[in-house]
Amino acid sequence: MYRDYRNKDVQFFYVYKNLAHPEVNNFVPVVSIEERLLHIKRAKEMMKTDMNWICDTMKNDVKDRFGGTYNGEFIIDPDGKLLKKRFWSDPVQLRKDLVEIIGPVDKVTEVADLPTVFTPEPRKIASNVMPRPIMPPRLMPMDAKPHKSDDPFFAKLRIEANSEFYRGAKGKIFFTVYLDPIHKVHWNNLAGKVKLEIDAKEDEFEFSKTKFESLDAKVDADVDPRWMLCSAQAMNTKPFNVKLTYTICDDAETFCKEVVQEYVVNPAPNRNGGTRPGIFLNEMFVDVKKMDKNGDQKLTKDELPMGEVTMYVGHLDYDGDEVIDFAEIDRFMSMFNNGKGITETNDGG
Amino acid sequence: MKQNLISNTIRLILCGLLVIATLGTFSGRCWAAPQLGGEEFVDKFNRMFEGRDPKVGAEMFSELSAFDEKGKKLKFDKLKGKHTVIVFGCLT
Repeated sequence: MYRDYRNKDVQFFYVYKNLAHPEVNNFVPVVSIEERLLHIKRAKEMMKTDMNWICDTMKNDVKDRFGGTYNGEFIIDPDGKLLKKRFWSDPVQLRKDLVEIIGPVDKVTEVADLPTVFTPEPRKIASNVMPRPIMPPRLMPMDAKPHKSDDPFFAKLRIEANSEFYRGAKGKIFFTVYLDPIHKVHWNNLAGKVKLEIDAKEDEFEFSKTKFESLDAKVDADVDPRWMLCSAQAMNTKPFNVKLTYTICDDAETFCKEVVQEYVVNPAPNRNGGTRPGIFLNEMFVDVKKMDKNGDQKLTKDELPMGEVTMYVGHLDYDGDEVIDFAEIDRFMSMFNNGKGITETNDGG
Repeated sequence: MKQNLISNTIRLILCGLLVIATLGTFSGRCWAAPQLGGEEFVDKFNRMFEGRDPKVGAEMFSELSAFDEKGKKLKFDKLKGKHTVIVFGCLT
């Protein structure tokens, strides 16, 4: 559409806002506009397009103005008035809209005319060496704001809790520490484990533990996330503080550094926190190839089970030929876990 | 029991929505409707969205600003004068 209508007085923009699903395509949620701009640069390289991007504010003002959709699509007239809106973008319908509003084009660009896009570049440092934990069910992210730091946020902290915690009952808090691929660094495991320390008043919170160390990595360097879990209860809605200590080296091996960074955590659900990708749908990730009943390494409509799984698996049909071959499944899996795919699923939301 | 049922239903809907939101981006084309049976599901959400803000006809650009790719402040009012297509999502 962009190719077809950009010369017909139509301007197109992608909007970068908070990320919906950390880790996918080796992107993790960032903490500053500068880091968002780095993501945009990376995205343009991956998508091989010169279409312009708008970088939303850290408060996601643009997303909020446009209804809070994660994958919405909107047409606005030259006076700034909304003409069309969709919760979920639909290229077929968008083209129909543009034909109706602007008029037809002489030559329609097809998907096959476009360059291959969105192949994540796996990190070359060891990954998939840390066992992924079984997560408590019904996790929702919290708002964790970083304090100012002289160092870049090489690692990003994600904090989630289950509904019991948010209700003020005894619940679970799950900490994930992601290394951010845009900084091109890895854990220096020879220098020690990732450490996390909670600072909260005793009469405001009850934690089963307040000092954590990550598990042994068993390799000198890797890029896997680190996970920590505790039981917790909040007696009120006041924030608590988390201090993160870790040692990283850059991939080019020009420096290693211990970094200490702190976050203030608001113990309430953060609606902009996104979710870890589809981990509750085992059929989608672990068992998808088992649907191939005749062993031809392809999934056809008659092999897909009825119901929601079919709807989801249908997204893997990248070329739209109504057949999902195993290469398409592998391509899908390559977007997770630094290209290693997902081999186990669990709850966690 | 009834509350649990309602809670589970809401959860199921939210989970479905989030999976759809996740998987659509994995098509690798950014603008991608689901295929092989997902169209009805997405149509349903688009219809639900019709009743929510912003409504068709709403002024979208006034007093709204963000940043361009270079990090310069971008006032949306400056986009007036042409038809504008805005798409969210794509990265994860």
